[in-house]
Amino acid sequence: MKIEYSMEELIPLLLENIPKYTSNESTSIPYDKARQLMQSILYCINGFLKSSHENHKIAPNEKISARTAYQTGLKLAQDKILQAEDLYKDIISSFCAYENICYYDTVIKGMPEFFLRYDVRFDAANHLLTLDYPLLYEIRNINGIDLIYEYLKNIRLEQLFLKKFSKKQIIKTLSNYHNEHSELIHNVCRIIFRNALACIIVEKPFHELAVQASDLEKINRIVSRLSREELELYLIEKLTKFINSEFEGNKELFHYLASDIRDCTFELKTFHSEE
Amino acid sequence: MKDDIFSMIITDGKQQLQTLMDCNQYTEKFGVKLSKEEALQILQSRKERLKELERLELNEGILPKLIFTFCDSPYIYQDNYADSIESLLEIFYLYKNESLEELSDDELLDYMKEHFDGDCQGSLDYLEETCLENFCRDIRKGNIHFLGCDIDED
Repeated sequence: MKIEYSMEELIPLLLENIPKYTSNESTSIPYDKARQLMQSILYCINGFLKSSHENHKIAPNEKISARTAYQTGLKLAQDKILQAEDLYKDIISSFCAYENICYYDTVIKGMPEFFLRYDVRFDAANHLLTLDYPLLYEIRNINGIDLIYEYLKNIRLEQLFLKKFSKKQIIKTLSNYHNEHSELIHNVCRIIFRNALACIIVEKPFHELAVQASDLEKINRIVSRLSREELELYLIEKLTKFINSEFEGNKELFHYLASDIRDCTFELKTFHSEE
Repeated sequence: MKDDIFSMIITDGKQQLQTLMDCNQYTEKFGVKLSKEEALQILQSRKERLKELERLELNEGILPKLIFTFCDSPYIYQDNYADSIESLLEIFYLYKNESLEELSDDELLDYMKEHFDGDCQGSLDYLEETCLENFCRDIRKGNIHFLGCDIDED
């Protein structure tokens, strides 16, 4: 369902927001600020429409005014900021960066700046942070508080997963991967996940996070026997069983870790064909 | 989003003209007033400058306040009144941009008036190209955070 609002409906909202933005201290603003304010209005309206669509709150023929859509969307965005703050407090209560500087800087140093400076009313689309620490997959097509909220949800999932392993074992695994792992800008979870998956494939305890040369032979035989699509399904099946047994079937965690399966499959097949 | 949208936000032309003509009731005391033709010229110039400098102005904008601020200047008299207001308006918009929105309307107007009547001795060129240029450069560098008529005496 797509509701479009004309400029005649949106401009009054902009003209009302300008004096609030300038605290009535300026009778004019540059075009780029006007654009920013308009984008904030559209951000809130789109947030409202998306939420209404997902929750089936608008009837097909129902017309909601731009003003109502904006005000409701703004409230939703403000509520989301509060939810994100709660999520962040939950994360940092037991957060571990496993010696990775980028992970620490992004979550512990950078994220508070977002909550301090994010301006949902006048610059809603600007999430301020570069989010240098990469997730298992890149979040696309969203920005502002929506992006930050998704990012934090995934960080919490990572931390949940990583807590299944001892810190010492994780750091040892990362060190084996690269002796300067603390300075790499890479996803810590990916390294641990793939090592755990390798253990699962060769039917060793997953928390050992280490496979021997003989185990690699077994993995190679599986990789060579299966097509890429079959290998992907095979790994998904292993992941499903793992999530069911260790994480009570946590669907969000499953989807997050599963986002790496395709790349993992590709790299396994590529590595195997190069040998 | 196309910026044409902003230049098309039209405020009531008749109301703006009336507002300018109403200013004459005050400015007459200082020996200056605008004719209807001059007011229309200033409004047209305002529209063009706003588009050129990419600024969106609300309602009646800064013009009435600018007129009230400068109408009593010793360097403005009837013969140069309309041209001076037009030039001062252009300078005002230009330096709102140049100051990166760090200055409120009142702060900029106060500065302009203080120096126009003071060291500029009525020279618009000196005001624009020297005083304000230096002032805004300092603001952009962060050397000045606020200046105006509200400076603490201590």
